[in-house]
Amino acid sequence: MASVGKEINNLVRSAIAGDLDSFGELARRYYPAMVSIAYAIGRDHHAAEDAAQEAIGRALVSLAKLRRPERFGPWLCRICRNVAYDMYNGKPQTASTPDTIAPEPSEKDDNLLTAVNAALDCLPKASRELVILKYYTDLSYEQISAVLGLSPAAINGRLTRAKRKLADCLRRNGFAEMRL
Amino acid sequence: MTSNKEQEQLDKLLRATLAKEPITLDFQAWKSAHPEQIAAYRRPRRRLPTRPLQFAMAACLIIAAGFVLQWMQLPEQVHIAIEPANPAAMINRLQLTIAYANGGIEGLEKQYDKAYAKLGPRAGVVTVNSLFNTF
Repeated sequence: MASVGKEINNLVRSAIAGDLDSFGELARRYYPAMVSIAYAIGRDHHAAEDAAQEAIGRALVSLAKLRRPERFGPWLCRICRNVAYDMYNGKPQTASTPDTIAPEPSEKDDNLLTAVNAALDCLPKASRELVILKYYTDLSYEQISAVLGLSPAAINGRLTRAKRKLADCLRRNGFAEMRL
Repeated sequence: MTSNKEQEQLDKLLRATLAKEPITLDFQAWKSAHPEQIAAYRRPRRRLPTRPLQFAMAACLIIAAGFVLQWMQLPEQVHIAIEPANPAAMINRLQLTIAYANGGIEGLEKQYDKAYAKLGPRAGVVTVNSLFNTF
């Protein structure tokens, strides 16, 4: 974990010094997290990818302004969040249809997936972002920690609370037995 | 509080609802699609001074401002002297001591000149005592 952080710091310093390949490597590593963050705001995968790519451009241009290379991840994701909010004019969207890779769900499953999406919309912004970071791109706690600038223990606590709220919301909507 | 089984079910449900195929960035394609950003990144930049350098520059500026203010100080602020109302008071012991302290012999002479200028032209027959008594 510490060596990964050191490696990222070195890449950030090289990128600030003018090495575009180092920046490319950083962009590749953080791209899934950026797409997840934008998806949490817009709930549209293609728009989320557009926002992430736009954010990479903005970050590249203003990289020289980054004072603390060790905060690169949170800095990059803040840019992505801002780009996504600009894109949706600050209004979070709701996912009308499930954007999944599940193969042809039955009507019952479809109802459940729609209910999960609706329950996600009930969560506070930060909690929704965390859940999507975890399950949309299957990031580890360490990766989420690098992106949000929080400790893995804090991530675990917040994620547990967010999932509890989700479960409560699903139960209230009549999904007492959460079976796939 | 949800049980472990429920937690597992919720995990599965969230993965089924949200999970995407691995998301990857083709940086070469991104580079060719964003030439303006690449050009802006490669453009020589004016490096901003580091934080310690900024503090040093601010300190130099404050010291320089101090010197300028000291140099610009008005004479009244340097030489504190209360101008007496009449020529007799202008040449009493205290005023002459102050004049000497501020300007030496020249200061003393200046003080006398000012006192006599204030006294103005008088007839020769009038005594100095009677002249001073008029004020």
